[in-house]
Amino acid sequence: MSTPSSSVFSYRVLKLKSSDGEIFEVKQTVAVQSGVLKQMMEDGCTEGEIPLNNVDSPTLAKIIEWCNKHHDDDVEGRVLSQEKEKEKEKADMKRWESEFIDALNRDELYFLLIGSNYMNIKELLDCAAQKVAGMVKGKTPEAIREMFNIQSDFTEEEEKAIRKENQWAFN
Amino acid sequence: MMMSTKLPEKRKRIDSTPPPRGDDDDDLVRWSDLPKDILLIVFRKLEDHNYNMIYRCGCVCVSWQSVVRASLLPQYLLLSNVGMFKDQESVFQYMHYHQREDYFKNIKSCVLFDLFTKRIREISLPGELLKGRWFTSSSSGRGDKYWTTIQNPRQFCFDAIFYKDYFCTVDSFGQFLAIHIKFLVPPVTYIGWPELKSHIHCLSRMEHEPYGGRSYLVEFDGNLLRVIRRTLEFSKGLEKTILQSKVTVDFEVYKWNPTKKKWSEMIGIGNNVILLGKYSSISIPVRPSPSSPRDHGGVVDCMRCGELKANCIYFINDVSNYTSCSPQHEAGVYNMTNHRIDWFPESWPIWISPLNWLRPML
Repeated sequence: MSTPSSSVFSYRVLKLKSSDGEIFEVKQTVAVQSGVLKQMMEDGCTEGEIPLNNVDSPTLAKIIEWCNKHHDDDVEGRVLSQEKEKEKEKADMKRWESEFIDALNRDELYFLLIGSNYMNIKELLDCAAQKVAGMVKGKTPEAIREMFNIQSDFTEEEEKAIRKENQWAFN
Repeated sequence: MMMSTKLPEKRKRIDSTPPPRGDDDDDLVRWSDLPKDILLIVFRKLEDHNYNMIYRCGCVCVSWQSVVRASLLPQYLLLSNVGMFKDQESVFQYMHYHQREDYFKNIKSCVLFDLFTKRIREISLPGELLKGRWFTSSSSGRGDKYWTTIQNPRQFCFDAIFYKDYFCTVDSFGQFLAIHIKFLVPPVTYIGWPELKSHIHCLSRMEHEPYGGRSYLVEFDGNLLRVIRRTLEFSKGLEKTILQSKVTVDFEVYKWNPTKKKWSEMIGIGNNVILLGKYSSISIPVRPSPSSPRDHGGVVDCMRCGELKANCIYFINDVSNYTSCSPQHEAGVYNMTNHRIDWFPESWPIWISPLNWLRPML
């Protein structure tokens, strides 16, 4: 907010209200990364507090941290003269992303998936899903269940049948 | 929700840390209840040449299974029988028949072809599967750990299927055998010709002699069908090097009547398709598309759009050609409505091996 900008638009701030009642102020230029908020802005219905019933405050803080890092407001002003610089920027961003995601515990990751899906932030959802895929990869169904604390809700017969049919998948 | 009634006391947290904000039930972290669109994004990232990971995810819980089943698994695949294998350089190569012995010793995987996406998939296999030919037809899930040998002195059986409680075979003379499962006792039962008679539930010589054709058995809507694939032999090539080739020209479908012990001809199969292949034929219902403009288009056009056309028989090259290693271009679709055959494009990589239909089960 302290950076001067040519666009008055960017000064405008949205008030996001998390499911536990906390208010977060976010610049419109940042909030536009959320498909849901973007739509609301276009429809002109962003006055007052915007309740996000599926996102609690710790998750919303994380999501806003991501969006702040990714919004291109401050990139716009600068001229990246060198291709190399661009590449470096990209690589830095990738590193930041993976550090951001890796720092989350399992529950935080879960809420981030739900939140980014709810707010329709494609890149964040993609990044979080990639993390989950990486966690799952190479594991047996049991190991996956254990990791995510999932109880098998198959009946005993179903479980047996699945195992039998898919023996080759368990090697 | 689903779990609460079934396994209330069994549920325990394996994660030692309690959920960070768990005062409200809605806040509970339940990976099994992750919205389906999110699961789909995660599973798509696991897709590669191997279906294994997708399958494993489908085995985790009912909700994950439903996502895998509905969106990620193809309805059926073509299984390359012997013709393709993966060598050390990860290249799919054509396998010559005289090399087959070695091939079976070394094979660690088989190759699947998805007709809709045109993607080739490789799956790894446990070794004991590889001693014989694939046997993929098992809609009823029958079978045990043992091989049962049935000796039929007359003829090598052409196709076989488990239908209800019977193991049914049909030979190249159209002789139909059905043996009750209780006579197929493990570990090995030899049923010679004299003994066989007393065990056989029904033994019929086809009234419609399938001369110049091959008979297949298919379970269809609880009934047993026999499909005859009529072929014509014709010669091609130069005068001195004449090659005999068999070409599929027509199909007939018969339904078994167990009380009358008779086959009766069917003129159509309605909103169903038959995927025809040795040891692996299946029938599946398809959505009718009466208003579809594609109705007038070819069935292969339909497949490009990811659809199977009702009342059609999809056939593949499923016969080993021991005299020649050249591919037999014998795969396509027979439309029972207008009796037309459309051939699969030769650009598809399905020509280099006898094939089986494989239905992924989950």
